[in-house]
Amino acid sequence: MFEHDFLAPFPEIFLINATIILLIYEVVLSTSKKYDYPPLVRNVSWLGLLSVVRLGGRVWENEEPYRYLITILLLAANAPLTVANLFYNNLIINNFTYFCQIFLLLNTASTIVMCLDYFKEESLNAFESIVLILLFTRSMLLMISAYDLIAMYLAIELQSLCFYVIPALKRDFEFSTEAGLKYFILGAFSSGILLFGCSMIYGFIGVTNFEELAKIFIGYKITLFGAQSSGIFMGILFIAVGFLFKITTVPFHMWALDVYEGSPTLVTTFFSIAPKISILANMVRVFIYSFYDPTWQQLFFFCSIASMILGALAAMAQNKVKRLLAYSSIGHVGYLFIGFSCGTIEGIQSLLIGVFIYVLMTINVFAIVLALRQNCFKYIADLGALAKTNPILTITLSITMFSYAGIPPLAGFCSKFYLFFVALGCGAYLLALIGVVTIFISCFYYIRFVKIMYFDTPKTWILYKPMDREKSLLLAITLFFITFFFLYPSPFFLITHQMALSLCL
Amino acid sequence: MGILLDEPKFPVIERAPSAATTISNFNLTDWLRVTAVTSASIPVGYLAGGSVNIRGPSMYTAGLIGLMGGFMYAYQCSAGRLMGMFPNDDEVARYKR
Repeated sequence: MFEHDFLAPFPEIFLINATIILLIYEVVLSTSKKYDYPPLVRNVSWLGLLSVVRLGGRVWENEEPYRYLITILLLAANAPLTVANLFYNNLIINNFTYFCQIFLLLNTASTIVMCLDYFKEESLNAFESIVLILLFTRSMLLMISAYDLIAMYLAIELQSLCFYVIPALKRDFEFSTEAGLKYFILGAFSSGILLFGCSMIYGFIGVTNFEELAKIFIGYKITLFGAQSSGIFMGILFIAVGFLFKITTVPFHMWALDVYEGSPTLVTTFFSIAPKISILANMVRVFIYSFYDPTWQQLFFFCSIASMILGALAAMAQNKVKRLLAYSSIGHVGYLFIGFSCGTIEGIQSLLIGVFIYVLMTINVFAIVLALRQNCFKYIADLGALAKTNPILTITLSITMFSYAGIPPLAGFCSKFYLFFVALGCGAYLLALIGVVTIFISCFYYIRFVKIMYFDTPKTWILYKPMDREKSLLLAITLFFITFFFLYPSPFFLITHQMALSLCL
Repeated sequence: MGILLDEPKFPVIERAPSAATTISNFNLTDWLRVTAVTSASIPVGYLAGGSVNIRGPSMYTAGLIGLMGGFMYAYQCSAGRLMGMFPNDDEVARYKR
């Protein structure tokens, strides 16, 4: 019955098994009197990193072993990756899925690297957080390859259940508990809306598979006023609202600020990075592949414009770092939605490029925030005189902020340029204009970081401790990409083009 | 049931090999892969357990994860050869396809 099906998702199966092994290991050893009840977080972090890095060996679609390395580095366009539908069309494997999953695993590995020192500094013996991160990664891998509304919803719920817990990691800190509770309530609410939308689609059409929905909706005009069409319209609208909640787009962004600020910084890092990849990948499959219709373009245009404007204006008044980065995240989702709402192959390509570069910049920024965290770095003003005490870190943060601001020739400029280019190509001139104006406005608070680091004095005495080796390495790698991406972006453009083509053809 | 949409590039020995067939088709390279991945994982576990004096259990756990990962990697390669996705001269000669 399932001839090939369990062979393709070997990475997911491996991750589930590794997580179970780690969980048993943690439970047994943490209560072991023989080993004096050891704190296990750092140890389990390394074992978790071993599991995630091991996952990178997906070779079953390729001609030669280790082809995936070549694929990632240089030859994506020429790599004949296998396309397969699995488990009665509930999951799909193609170029788009493959590269999104590889990218997701790299980000998870980066996050685990960042947390190696974090728990020791915070005196948090929360080894279960690593297990939750691995379970979350597994659910995101499934979400990226979901090809059915039911499979998609199950993956979203798996992800959400893991994610509801980790904001409340600091159980004796009321903001953390508040963040966890807020995320749980609002996340459950948005999941309910999404499920209601899926049930309406099934009720009015009778199918849940994306391929079958795509065939039905070809040439089918969805309006609010047709007898059957209005039900389909509302169903798709509810699905869109559910997704927009989860990706923190205006006007469904309210929860994000308090959750980002109240959560432990490591969790905020993970919130900012990982869900964007999986949810955007899913949205692209649902709205551009299955429900392709100009009606949704107007909704996503509005969300894009609103997110860009709010992200630019609201962040100007922020003094707290995490809150400012949360608004920056909302603004960047607005920019990414430019590519998404265009609905063309170039639009999908620009979206993928934008996500990749945004994630790199966010990893860089949060690695610096985590490195400075032990000095009670909460407000932007705490960065005063960083240039005198740690000039290399200052240069790193400055370059990343310039990249966020879209200043050429850094990677942030390349991604935004391509997004606006695509918007102009599909006739969305207003979108491009608002995007450019909001980037100019956002320059204010990004460059404010640079001004404070170089020209301000700190408000209190600050003792700077050396950064750990792992974060230094991560910062070096991400800074390298941000700074020198413009010199040779072709491989990455080829990969993203291949991904977009595999989705549309 | 899974639907493969890509054409096999080499002669197909068995379109949907069972687990027993795949494991019995493991060649020396596959067993070397299992050994290599397991061997690479063990020192990672040993070093990871150093800071809290749990080198032994950490080493065994990492070895177990590595053994599972290596076995799955070898299984993929063996199944790929049987399905005609990877170069499979030895299988062709053995099954005379």
